[in-house]
Amino acid sequence: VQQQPPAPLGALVQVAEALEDVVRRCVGPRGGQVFFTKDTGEALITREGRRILTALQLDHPVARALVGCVSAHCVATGDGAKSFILLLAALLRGIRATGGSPVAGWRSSGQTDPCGRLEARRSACQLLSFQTQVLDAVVKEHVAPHATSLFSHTSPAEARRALRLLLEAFFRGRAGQVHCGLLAEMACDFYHRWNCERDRVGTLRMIRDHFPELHTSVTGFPTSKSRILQGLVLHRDLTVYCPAEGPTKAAVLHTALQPLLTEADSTLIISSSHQFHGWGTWVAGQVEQNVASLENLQVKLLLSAVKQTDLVLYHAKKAGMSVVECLDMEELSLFCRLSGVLPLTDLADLVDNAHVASVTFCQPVVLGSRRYTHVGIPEGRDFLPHCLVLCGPAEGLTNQCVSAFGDAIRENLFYSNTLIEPGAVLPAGGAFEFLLHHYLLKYTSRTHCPDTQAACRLVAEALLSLPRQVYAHSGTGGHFLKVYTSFVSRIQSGEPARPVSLGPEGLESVACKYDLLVSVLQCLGRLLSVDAIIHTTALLRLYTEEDLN
Amino acid sequence: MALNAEDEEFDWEPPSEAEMKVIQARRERQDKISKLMGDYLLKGYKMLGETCGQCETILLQDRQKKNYCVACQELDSDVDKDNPALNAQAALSQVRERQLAAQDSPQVGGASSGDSSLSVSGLPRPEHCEGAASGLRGPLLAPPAPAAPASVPGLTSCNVATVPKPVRPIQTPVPAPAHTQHPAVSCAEEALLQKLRWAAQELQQSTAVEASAQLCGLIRSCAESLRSLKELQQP
Repeated sequence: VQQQPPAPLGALVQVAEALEDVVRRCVGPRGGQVFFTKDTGEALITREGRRILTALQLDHPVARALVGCVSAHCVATGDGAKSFILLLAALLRGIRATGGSPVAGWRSSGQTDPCGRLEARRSACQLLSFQTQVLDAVVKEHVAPHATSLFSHTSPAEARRALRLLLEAFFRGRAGQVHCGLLAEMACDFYHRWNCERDRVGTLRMIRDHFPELHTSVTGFPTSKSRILQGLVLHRDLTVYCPAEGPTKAAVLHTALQPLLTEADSTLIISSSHQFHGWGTWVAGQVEQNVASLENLQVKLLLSAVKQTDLVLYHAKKAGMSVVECLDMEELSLFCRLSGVLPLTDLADLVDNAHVASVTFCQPVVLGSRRYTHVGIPEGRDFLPHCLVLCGPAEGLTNQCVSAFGDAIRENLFYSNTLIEPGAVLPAGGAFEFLLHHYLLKYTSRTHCPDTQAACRLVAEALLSLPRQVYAHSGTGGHFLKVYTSFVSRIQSGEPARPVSLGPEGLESVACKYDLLVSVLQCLGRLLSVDAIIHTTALLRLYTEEDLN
Repeated sequence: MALNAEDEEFDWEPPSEAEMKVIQARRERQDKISKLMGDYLLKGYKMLGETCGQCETILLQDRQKKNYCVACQELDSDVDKDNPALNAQAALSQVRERQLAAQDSPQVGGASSGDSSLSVSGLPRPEHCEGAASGLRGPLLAPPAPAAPASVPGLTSCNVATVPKPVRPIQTPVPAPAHTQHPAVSCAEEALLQKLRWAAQELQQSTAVEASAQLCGLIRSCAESLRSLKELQQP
């Protein structure tokens, strides 16, 4: 185990700038994609910041800490890896520029001196207190009033249009210019078909939690073939298929219908063939009885988590029941939740009606090269279940589509924090950054503390790096300045409470943008206050509290 | 964190124009380093936790486990720019400064090509000097634009050359004035011819293919070096 002094500010900036250069190529609606290949021949095309960063090989401890922070942020909010890195690099550059004489401090190897560390640590503490004391207040009082709410539109057509703009901007960043319209339309459709309005939070939470079960990804087809299906697609084929017209009943089984020969860890001694035959007859009788009980409950579809034996399948076919075996536990639990039934774990419950669900239809469906089971679920109390079929030409692109969709739901519709209500949106293309920049600079003139002033200026300058990067890819070089100056003139002439619009670029969620800024400031604080870096050669075993007790 | 104008203990003036240029140059250099590092990371290089001993840049490691420093090996070294022994321009500015300080008057026109810090003949014009200096350096140095990390017959190369060159003739830091045969140049020529003879003998006796190929490479580089030496001798 060896210990070394912490990374000086120069190294932090270098790491951040190298990562910034990597993600910068993919930022904005006109950014490119990165094509990764592995030695095994696997290929991955992506412009998702988190995927790119985790695919890089990084041994530097600061770089790994950074990528860890970014991943944690993305898991919580669903997006923002590239903006995270851009903002962090801009803040680090700002700190380096203000701390000490720029010429001497550049490549002085004396960054390990205690003054440098203390200074960095002070900056870290200052930024964190700045965020809680000043930034929160500025955002709540000045920036939030400019935002409009997605969910407060009076006419449903308006609300739908607003949602579409929000999702289109999101998909333009994640999936590129080509497919963003289609995916946004589908997402809007999906949201409305679920009838989320009755219990928005609960339904969205369910969609978010069960998104892996609610979608099917199909490789080998163009993205335009993606569609929404009513009901649920179970990712197994029907073992026994007896076509039935109209609504039927279904039962969810967690056990086998045929009684087991023995329990585990026990020995069965058969003393004669007569005994064996007797046992066989008894088992057959039990199976017939079980299937007959199911038939009495008018069950025509068996959804089983385990594999059923051939005898069971034979009897089921005789009774005209369709059987699906070896289903995932998560899918079955989603099915139970959507239809409001309990799964059958004990065969004694076979007479109980509470375990029987009604389905509107059941049929096999071919998606791509596989056959799945498509069941229709009647309308529940608060929602009408639908599921997605997402297509893509190659596996990497399909996965990109899928993750973009999942994150869209998670971030845009569901996300909220304590300061800003869910659904508060601003026009995309830099409105949030411009507004916050403007109000932070105004705040510096009102406050007298020099540290706060410096922090305000630092954050305000760093914020502008995001729209600058987005507009950098567009044709005209001066586009950013044009937009910025027109915005400033509008904000200074207009009334403060009127919502600002920058053009039909789409919308973005204010809560997510603000949380990104907070995450960046906290990550920065953590990086700057590292005291020592310890290299270990053995794998660290992390002890939990239970282990220690 | 902030540098306050009100703080009386520390007087801070805005940087002068020269300092601004230095800051600007350093910033551009840093940008170039970041861009190169980003390119290599995307190519599959690994970012190590160590820094280069000379320039404090973070080291990269390629698939063959070889360490690589983007600043030392691709960009012109920042330090060498100011070293008069390695850079014609730096030597020139040093000379000019000395002259200005000593208030020397004779300004002989017709500059010589040399920039030797030992001998000075008047105030050479920069563009003439630069041209001559680049002519002196010409086929010997790698172009300053970032090249692939292959070994080039240049002044600085941290990579291990595949063909060990026994002699690097133009390692002499002082590009000599061209009219007279500089003793270093003739010495270098002699050494080269000697090596050439030895290599030719070895080649006649060699039976292995690899060794023969390496000897041929050696002969080729000796010939190139000789040609460069000849060019040195011409004005």
